[in-house]
Amino acid sequence: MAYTVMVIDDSETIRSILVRSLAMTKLPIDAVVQAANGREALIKLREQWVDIVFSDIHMPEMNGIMLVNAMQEDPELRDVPIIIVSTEGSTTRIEELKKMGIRGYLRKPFTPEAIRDVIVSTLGAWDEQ
Amino acid sequence: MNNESLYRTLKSVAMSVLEDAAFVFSDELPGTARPSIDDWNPAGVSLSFTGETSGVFRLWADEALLPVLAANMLGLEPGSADARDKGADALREMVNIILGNFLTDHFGSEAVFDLGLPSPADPARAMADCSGDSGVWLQVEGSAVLAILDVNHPRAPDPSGKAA
Repeated sequence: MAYTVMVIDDSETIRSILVRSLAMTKLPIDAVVQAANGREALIKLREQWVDIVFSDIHMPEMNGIMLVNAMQEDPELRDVPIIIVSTEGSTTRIEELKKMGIRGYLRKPFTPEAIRDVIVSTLGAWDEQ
Repeated sequence: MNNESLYRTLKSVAMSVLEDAAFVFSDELPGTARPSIDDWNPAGVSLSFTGETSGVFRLWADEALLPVLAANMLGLEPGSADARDKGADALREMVNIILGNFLTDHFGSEAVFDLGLPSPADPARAMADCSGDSGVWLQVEGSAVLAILDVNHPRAPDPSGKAA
């Protein structure tokens, strides 16, 4: 089974780094869908199946926190795992996000190994459900 | 506030992020080697933050460094048109990563901050920043970089944090 991954960040640089890093994980990733903000991501999420979402927090139009809320409120999207990718390391913020429903947190700068670990731990648990 | 402590952390974080994210090594740039604004035309990015304290972070860098950052971060051919096109975005992202890591390292992992969106720094600020006494000057791949932090209501760093 190959996975479809979504990466959401207003920085094209970070999206490109994420795409490269995903390729370097050697995981069975069939497609990577990109979005520049939460609003664009929601449109694409409602158009196609995505197995896991990597999202920044601070983005224009709709930030990552607003996106998490929107996905939790949508029965079609609430079970799609979200991994927040951010520069912040606040444990308070991370705990708040986990209570909101995120499945993991990656701090920038990240490595392909860290991405691989979070995908395996998240989708592995996902597969067991 | 102890600005010396603040800038010590900022220098440590900036050098670490440049190495980890952009694969470039940096050294502190001695005063005698620092460019004057008269013959330096840097690119600048500004990023505001609010939370436990608030302020603005600015990073100024030689234009020549931007495609190097982009090439390294994205695995592009150095000197390619693609690297030149993506240089500005690469600098914005470096500012984002440096500030985010600095705020946690200096104020502790429980402090919560909200970062704005990186934007071009006002060129009029460059002269004041370059000629001021504060800030962190680095030499990166032969290019000068200046990191400036204006904190509005500074408070003491987290004593159990990772401040350098």
